Amino acid sequence: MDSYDLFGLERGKYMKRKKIKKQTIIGLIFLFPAAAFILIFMIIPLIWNFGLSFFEWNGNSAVQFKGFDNFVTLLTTKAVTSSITKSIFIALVATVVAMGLGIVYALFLYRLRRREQKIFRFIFFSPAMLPLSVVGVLFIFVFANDSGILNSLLEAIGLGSLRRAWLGEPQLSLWVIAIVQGWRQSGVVMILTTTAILGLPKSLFENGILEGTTYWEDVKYIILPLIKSSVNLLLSMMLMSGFKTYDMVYAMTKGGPGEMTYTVPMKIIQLGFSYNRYGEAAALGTILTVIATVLILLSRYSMRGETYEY
Amino acid sequence: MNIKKINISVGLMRLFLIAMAIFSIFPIIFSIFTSFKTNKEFYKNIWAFPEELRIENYITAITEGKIGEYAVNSITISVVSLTIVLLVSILAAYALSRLRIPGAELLLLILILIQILPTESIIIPEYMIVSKLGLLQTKYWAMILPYVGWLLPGTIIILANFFKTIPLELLEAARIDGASELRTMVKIIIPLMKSSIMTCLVFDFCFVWGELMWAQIATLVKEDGIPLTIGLLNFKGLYTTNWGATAAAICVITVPLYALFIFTQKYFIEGLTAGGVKG
Repeated sequence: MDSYDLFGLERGKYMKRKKIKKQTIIGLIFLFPAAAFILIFMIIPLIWNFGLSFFEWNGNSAVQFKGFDNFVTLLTTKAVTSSITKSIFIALVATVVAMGLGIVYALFLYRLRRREQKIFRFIFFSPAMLPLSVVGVLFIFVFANDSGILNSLLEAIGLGSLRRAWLGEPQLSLWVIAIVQGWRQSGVVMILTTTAILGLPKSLFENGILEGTTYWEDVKYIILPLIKSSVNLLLSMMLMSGFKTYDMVYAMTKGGPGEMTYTVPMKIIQLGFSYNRYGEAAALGTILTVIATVLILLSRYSMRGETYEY
Repeated sequence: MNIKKINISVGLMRLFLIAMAIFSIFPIIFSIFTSFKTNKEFYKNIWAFPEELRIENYITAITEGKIGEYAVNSITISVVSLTIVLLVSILAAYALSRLRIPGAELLLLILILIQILPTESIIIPEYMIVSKLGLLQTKYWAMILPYVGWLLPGTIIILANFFKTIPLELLEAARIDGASELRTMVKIIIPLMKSSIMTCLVFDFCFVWGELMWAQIATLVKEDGIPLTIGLLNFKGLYTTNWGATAAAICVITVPLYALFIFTQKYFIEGLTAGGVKG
């Protein structure tokens, strides 16, 4: 009797272990295609890029080890450092615009009726679906020098003296690019903030209704603290997307006038594909990764503090 | 007293939202109007409604600007990339969240880190790999395969988060009934995950449809397989003063996106809420 039971138990364990092993094997088979793609098109390029940063190579010549020379050359070249400054500038301005607009949209929308919410949500999210390059071309309509919407509008309301070459002056065009980039991304912030707010339990607001708190008090003391982790994530996302701005610049100014609106990705392409200086291009890629990581870590640090579970 | 105060502030909020909404859709409405205008009409009054629905601009965009050809390329690239991404990522996400893979949590963490990485920084080696694999001579693969590689980490993370919400007991029941893993997945899980799949579909489609930088590099050495984004910019360069035709080209690119979002909006919001994008 006893031995029979024991046998049954052992058998059960054996079967279970066999089943687990079978699941692992099937799992690995399921995982294989994804692993292959990610390895070939992301991880290997990443490692290769890092390695290439320390070599000189023009595509034909022998590969030559240069240590940190590429980085030194890049960081002492005015055109490169100024492209880094411009990327950071666009990242900061675009992030402020996107976060500000997006969060305000989401908080305001929350107070409206469901039908209204849906319509507004669609409208505010729509720019975020559009390709950045298309947004760029669309806004050429707005900012074009002659017969652009903005200049025509200024003319029409008698403020013709405020007409500007919005995309012709270096500093001004950077502002324009950054704000348009931020406006486009505000849709992403709005939709993710909305889903975060919708995810909050309704019961949290009941107490407030009883005590007659205003919506702003709810926002300040309940909503914002509770969606902090989403806001935090969005902040990193926005900084990153602003910092690697390429499409918008390419569509609106092609980096001009001169190289006045060149951003880091444009510089990478120029170094690599116009000048064949692959080592330097790779090194600038590494710098891009490092700065992006630092920006994200800084944003996490500045938003640190306890997160609440609900 | 209190109720009155709330009403006023909701009114102000609504006013602000309406103003911003007008501002947000204005460029697209403007380009729809412009796409139906002749150049002369456009310069006469840029604000006016088109006098009639002329399709000349669309014909110019399609015949001279080759926008039709570019659209076919973009559609092909998107459909093939998204199909591969969805198949591969569903399998991987299921494995990582619901099968016993050693170190699955660590793998997911690595995916999150990779996903943050800007692909812009790795384009030099990416180009070399694609060229070594002989993809540069193909019409579409030089774009499709890297896109798949780049989209997989994010898609797998979203889907894996979703799979985790499906109770293990449900799967166990199916397994006890003797269903194979693939069958369990197709019959039980996929019907439950419509909204998550739609969410990924929208995100991934927007990326592929709008990608510019890599497409430019991948088509450096050839004339065919050029997608709409590059096409639009080429076109704009050629017809700097033909606003009508440029606007028509913009409409060709944007209308499919609006259509897609209108049809998937319901699932999209659901999927984002369920996917728990919380950081």
